[in-house]
Amino acid sequence: MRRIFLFIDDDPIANLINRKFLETSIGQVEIHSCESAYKGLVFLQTVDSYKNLEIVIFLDINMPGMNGWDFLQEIDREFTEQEFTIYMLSSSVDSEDKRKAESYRQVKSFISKPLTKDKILHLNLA
Amino acid sequence: MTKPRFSKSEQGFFVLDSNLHVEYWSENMTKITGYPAEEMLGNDTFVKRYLHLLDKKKVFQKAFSENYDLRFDYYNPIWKKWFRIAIFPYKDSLFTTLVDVSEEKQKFSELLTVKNLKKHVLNSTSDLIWAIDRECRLLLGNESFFQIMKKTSGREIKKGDSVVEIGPESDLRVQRINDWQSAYDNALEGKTFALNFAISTPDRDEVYEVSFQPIVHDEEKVITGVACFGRNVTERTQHLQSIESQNSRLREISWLHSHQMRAPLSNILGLADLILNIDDFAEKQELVKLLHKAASQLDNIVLDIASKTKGV
Repeated sequence: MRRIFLFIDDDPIANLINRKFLETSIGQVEIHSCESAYKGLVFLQTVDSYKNLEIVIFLDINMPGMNGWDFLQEIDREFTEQEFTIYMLSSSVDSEDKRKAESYRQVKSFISKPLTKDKILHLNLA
Repeated sequence: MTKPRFSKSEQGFFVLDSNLHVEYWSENMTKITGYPAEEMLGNDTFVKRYLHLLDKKKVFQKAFSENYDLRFDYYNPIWKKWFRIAIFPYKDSLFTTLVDVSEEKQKFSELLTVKNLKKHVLNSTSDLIWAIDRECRLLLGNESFFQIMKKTSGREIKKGDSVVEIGPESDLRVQRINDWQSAYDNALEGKTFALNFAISTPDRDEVYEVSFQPIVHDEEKVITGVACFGRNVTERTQHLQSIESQNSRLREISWLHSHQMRAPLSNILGLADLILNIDDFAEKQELVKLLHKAASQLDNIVLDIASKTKGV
């Protein structure tokens, strides 16, 4: 099965760190980074076929314009057929954000930034 | 002279002839004045002893000449006593009764003092004090209450007037009167409580904290009305609002701490971790540059928080 990792974060440094950690943890993988939630949605719409494809999304919460919560609502509305593996990846230490994230059906878990090798291995993605 | 009918009471009784000579002097008169009848009867003693005290009014001469009943209260400054005197002209005589009313006068004066004191106590405050009966009619109110009622409704309110009467006022006022009505109803059901009420006068809007206390009849244990006490809490309310706004700014700063500071900080932690685990020198150089950038971002946020905190 083909697997695509999608990082959605308005901070380019964060996207770079995430990419590096993912590469050093589980080797060469297919990674896309989007600097806005809107661009993330556009990417998901341009995917040719979801057959035999797993998309793992690392989603930031606080972003200008469409934020992480808005993005979750959009994919719930627009992608009724597809299943995604979504991790909320945020610098927030607000327990309310963690509680809210875990109340979403598509969200697997809430990860506090920075993403590290240990945290990735913990997700059992390899 | 017939036997007097007054001897059994405390009332003194005497009769004068047209020369103001005493024709009859009752036992009670002796008790009251200390003068026995023998001294008083049939001579000028009465005139000598008393007329100078009554001279100004010339009451006895007047009673004779005009032939009408006369009643008055007279204060004897020597005995420090009040007497109620009634004179009835009958044929050529004056029937006169006299009773000591000092005690009654004293009670009346005490009552006046209490009434006066109550008025002063009620009016000594800018707080509002009033009471209503079961039909929301005003039983009493202090001056501050009457003033504020006049300012808010534009009309004078008197004792006995309804305090929840709805005139041709704006909808806002009708709504407020409904609020008052339900508060009075609750108190008339026996609840004691305090509520804040906005009171608009032509000058300004104010907030009063009003406490409602049912008035319970001592013996019958039924609620006969409501006693109300209103305190102007406008300043306190404004103060609370300013504290609220300060709190919300502090919350914003705390939010900045939690979210905006942690973003570059987590980048710094992530980059440092990467630098330690990467061997390629050129790549390390790149990451150190990014580390420096992330540190500058953090610095800017710290400065931003410092400037926002200044105004708090």
